[in-house]
Amino acid sequence: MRAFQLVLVVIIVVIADIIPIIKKKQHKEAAVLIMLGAVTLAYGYYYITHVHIASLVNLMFDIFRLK
Amino acid sequence: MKTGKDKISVKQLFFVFTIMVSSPTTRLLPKFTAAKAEQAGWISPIISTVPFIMLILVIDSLLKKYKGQSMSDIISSIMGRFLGKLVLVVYFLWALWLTAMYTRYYTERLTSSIYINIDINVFIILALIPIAYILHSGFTPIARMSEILLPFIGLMLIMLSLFLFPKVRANNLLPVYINDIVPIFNGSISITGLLSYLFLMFFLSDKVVNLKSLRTFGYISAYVNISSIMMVNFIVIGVLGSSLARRVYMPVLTVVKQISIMDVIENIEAVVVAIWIFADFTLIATLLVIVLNLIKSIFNLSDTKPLINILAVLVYYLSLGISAGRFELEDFTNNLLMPINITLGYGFPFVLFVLSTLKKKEKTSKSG
Repeated sequence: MRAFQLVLVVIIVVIADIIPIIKKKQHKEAAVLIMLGAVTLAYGYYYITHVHIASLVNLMFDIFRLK
Repeated sequence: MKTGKDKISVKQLFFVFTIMVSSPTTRLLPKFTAAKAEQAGWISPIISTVPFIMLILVIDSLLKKYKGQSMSDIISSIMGRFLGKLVLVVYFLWALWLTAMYTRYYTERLTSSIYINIDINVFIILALIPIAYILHSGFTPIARMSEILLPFIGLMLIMLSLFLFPKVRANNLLPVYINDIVPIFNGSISITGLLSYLFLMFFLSDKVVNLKSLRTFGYISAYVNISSIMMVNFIVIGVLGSSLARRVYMPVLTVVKQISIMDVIENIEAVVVAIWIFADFTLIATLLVIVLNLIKSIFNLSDTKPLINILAVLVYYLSLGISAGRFELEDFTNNLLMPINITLGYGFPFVLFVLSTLKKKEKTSKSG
């Protein structure tokens, strides 16, 4: 259910913002918008499926090997 | 100083910076300095003055050498196109991390102070929707709002200091010996780390007019920020004592709850929380504008307004997933964030300054 909400929100936001910029022929902006949408979908899905263990702070601690 | 559309003055930039710093100051600094320097923690801000003023001088020198360019353009000019973009990506990730982290801190502060039984989702959504809406009008409304907000924050600090001064106990603040110099220095790390956000602010330098007065306003800002941080530390450690100040989750709120004037003026923490909400609002909005400006520089975009909404959605998920709880977040802030802040906020600007000086010398020797 939460994954469905995520997909719905991202699609609505991306479509609502992409229509005016495509009309203005700002293709680079449209590409960045789609890229940010994809990143949001990917991270949002990761968060939803790993809600109890997802922690970026722990990831940073692992990267810097502090814990 | 009159400013054009979507342009702000240096004064407004420093107003925004002071509000940005005020929010983490009240949440983090008294705890950190009390833990590191104990009763001498209130002196720690003085140490941070030196790197902060040096940072102002470095930024001023860079902006004078590369007139009319934004900090992103200056980085690309000095480091070359590829390395410059790489550095901008690092700053983008840092700014995005800070945005998500401060959004989470804002909700954690509310849910652990007065709205205990409310889901954090509610506060994140209630913060991000108005921020995204306001940012469609550019950064100018945020800068103008900060001109109204800052006097209130200053007034709040003065009032709290006056009300709490009778409760300050000298034995909580003294004695301070020469041996305390190392703990005082350790205590200043977090303050220095917070003040490093000034460098991030200059990624908005293309929106700022009258950069000639940067140094003057920089010195004023250094005085105001350092003295207010010192005042907060003085009051908190003076009232609670260092052993209690470092253990309480929000020492400033605990101290404010003690205010009682003739049993008439009490429970004024609601006013403090209200001002915190506005300060956090300014902090998150400014960081989002910096993120947008960095995206603009990385991808050479002409307009970033269409990216605001999707970025707000991304920040929502990042702020939820940044940590499992506030203890983990505090642990990260104290142990890892401050060195990162100092490296990116002070270390890199100094490297940039040295490289620009070497480049200039090379140019003069070639032309000579």
